[in-house]
Amino acid sequence: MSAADAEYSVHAEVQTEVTAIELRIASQPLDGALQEFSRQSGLQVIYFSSLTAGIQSPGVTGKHTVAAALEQLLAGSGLSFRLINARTVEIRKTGAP
Amino acid sequence: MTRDRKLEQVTGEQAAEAWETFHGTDEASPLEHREFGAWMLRSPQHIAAYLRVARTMRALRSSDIRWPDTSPETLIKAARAYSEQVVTPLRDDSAPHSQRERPRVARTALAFAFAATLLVAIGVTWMVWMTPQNFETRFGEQRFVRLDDGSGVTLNTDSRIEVKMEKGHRIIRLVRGEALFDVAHDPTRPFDVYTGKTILRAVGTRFDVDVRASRTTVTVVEGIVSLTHGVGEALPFGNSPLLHASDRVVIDSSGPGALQHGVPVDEATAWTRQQLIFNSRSLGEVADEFNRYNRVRIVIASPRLRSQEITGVFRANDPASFLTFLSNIPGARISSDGKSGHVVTLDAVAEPTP
Repeated sequence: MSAADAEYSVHAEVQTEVTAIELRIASQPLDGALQEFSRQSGLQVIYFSSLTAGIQSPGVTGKHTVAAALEQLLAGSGLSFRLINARTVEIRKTGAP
Repeated sequence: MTRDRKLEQVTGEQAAEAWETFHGTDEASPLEHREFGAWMLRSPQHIAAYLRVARTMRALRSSDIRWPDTSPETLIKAARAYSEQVVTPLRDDSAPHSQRERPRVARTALAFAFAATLLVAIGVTWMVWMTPQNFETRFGEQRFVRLDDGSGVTLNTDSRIEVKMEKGHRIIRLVRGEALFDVAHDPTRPFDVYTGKTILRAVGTRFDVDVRASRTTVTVVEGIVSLTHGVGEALPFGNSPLLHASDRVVIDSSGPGALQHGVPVDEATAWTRQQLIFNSRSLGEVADEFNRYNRVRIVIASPRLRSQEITGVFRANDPASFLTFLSNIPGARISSDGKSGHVVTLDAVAEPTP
């Protein structure tokens, strides 16, 4: 990642802590929940398909920051997220390099 | 003014010069007239660009203007059919083009241009109205077309349809690319989409047809579509397979495959919202999909990487984010191919991911 990208990413993470968005995502398989998250938040989402196989998401409803919403969607999955730029969320194994 | 509009203007000038050359020489064929008419209708900027060139070439002498002898009602109807056509350029890498110097012919008296634009617009509408209508998009464009029967057609990048409206029949040939058809209900006039050896018949429904080099994919969003494949003149629609909402069939050189049920239609129509939705698709396929829309080409050279499956949602014109994701994969390297492309390789020692 270039220095410019890193700066972008830090900026986006700050925003995810501040900006709250209204979400209504039902409990469902994680793939569907993340696609719905993308639709409602306008953020792009990407991950290796094998990560989410068989995982159920509790969903999330109400006004949340992007970070809080993603944490709730991923609760109990052993997965976490990072922003690879200001408009894209990557889902990854917690603790992956 | 946005960069996209600037690009449109420049390409308009270039195309206008080409067309002026064609008009200035020999008698044009009906096909050339049709193509010219379709090009003019793509954008008011094309008409304006054409006029600027034509005036400079002294081609707008009265003897060169052919007046339509069609009733005003017909002209208005025809004009209305075109009013919703919008070309959406998806690419935003116009920088190299926009640096081109604008031809000097661009300086034209505004009043003259307005008046003449009207004349030519009417003439062109008339010309196209009398012949089968062709609509196409270039690489990186999308466009919505409202047909005369009220049906809507959304064309994806690099696509072309030919439309023939007859009394008892609506015939659309999908020559290349991908289109989403929103068929106006009319039981007395079947709506047939021809592609290769396949005919799809609808009465009032919504379905997507995606023609690629080796296969054609048909996905029904709403209603019912019947499919006929490999027949000659006769159309035995009575015993053709019926596709219902959320059904999909893939047709390749050996004919139609088995009907797939419960297909996510949101994914099939995402392109109409300039989105790409991937559910467990290989990185190779994902790269190809981005390459349909963008001049920045992504080539995944590593077979191991190419076969890895990802899931995600992207804007069609944001290959940069996809590249960033690729660059974060342990062992992945991205290098330039010397032009506008990126080649992705994997270090030999890299562990399989994830």
